[in-house]
Amino acid sequence: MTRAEIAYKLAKAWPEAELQIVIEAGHNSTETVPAESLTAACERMKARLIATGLKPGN
Amino acid sequence: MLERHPLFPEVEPRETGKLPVDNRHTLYWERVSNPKGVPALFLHGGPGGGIRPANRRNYDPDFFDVTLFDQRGCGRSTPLNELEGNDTRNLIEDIEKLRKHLGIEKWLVAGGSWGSFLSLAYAQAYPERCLGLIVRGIFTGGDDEIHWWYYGIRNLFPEAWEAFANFLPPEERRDLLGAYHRRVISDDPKVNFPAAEALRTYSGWTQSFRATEETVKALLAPEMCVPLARFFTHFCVNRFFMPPGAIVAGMPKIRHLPGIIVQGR
Repeated sequence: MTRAEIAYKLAKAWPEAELQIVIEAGHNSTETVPAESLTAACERMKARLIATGLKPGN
Repeated sequence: MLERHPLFPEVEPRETGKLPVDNRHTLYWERVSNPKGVPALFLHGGPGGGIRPANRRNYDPDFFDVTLFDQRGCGRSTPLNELEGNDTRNLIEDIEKLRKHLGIEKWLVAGGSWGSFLSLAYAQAYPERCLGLIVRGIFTGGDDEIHWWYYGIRNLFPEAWEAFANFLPPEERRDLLGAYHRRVISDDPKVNFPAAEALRTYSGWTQSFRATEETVKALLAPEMCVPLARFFTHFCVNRFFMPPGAIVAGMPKIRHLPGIIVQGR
């Protein structure tokens, strides 16, 4: 289990990044909360990439 | 903000392969989803873990062209569990060799836990190869973060920590990392196995607030218990092969990239 403080420090050094703190996240990538949180993050990133003109088939 | 999204359907690789990266190590890689999609790379945790089928399902299969691979010494990469030449610099170069091999110009890089460290370290080495970064369960390799794992977690899981510490004689409990590392790298199974089992049990109870006897037991498969304990302590005693604070200090190199940080309390 990693510490929220470390993520917060990283976010301070990367103010352009989006920081999402979830109430409970297990550490294993196959547990429901972290897996669904990562999937949502991929969807948000997809929207940002689309906004920069990236899309499949280029 | 969309905070959770169900996993996408199960998907089989459309292509798999092996890539020799030096005279000893060969990587197993696989690609899933849209061959004309936006390239994405998933980096697994550990160190010493491996990719799982569920890791393919974080990505919209219509939009992304996803590459996953087992880091050197892990999963289906060979030789399995080999720690010789296994360090952060080589892992970063492996990613770059794989990118070139697959003919990908730039990719979205994502990883959790140890994968977050490796994602950030790779991006800082090759920022021009990254479309963006998604990091989850942040680990940046600091001494305080290593200390947290061996000692700090007792604040949350005192019972698991007590068993972890009490496995060792009292005089060795001031340096749990050193004491466990010495034991798990021993060639004698009577020494390495009980220590690896104690370390992995502690890891299992403390990696989630919802660990159960079953989830912990799953981490104790005899063939993986000692190798994973060796991987983890090998990287810890070597301070993850990066100067302390290097990841945070290196952020100016990549802060222009689109980024998402996901962290649990």
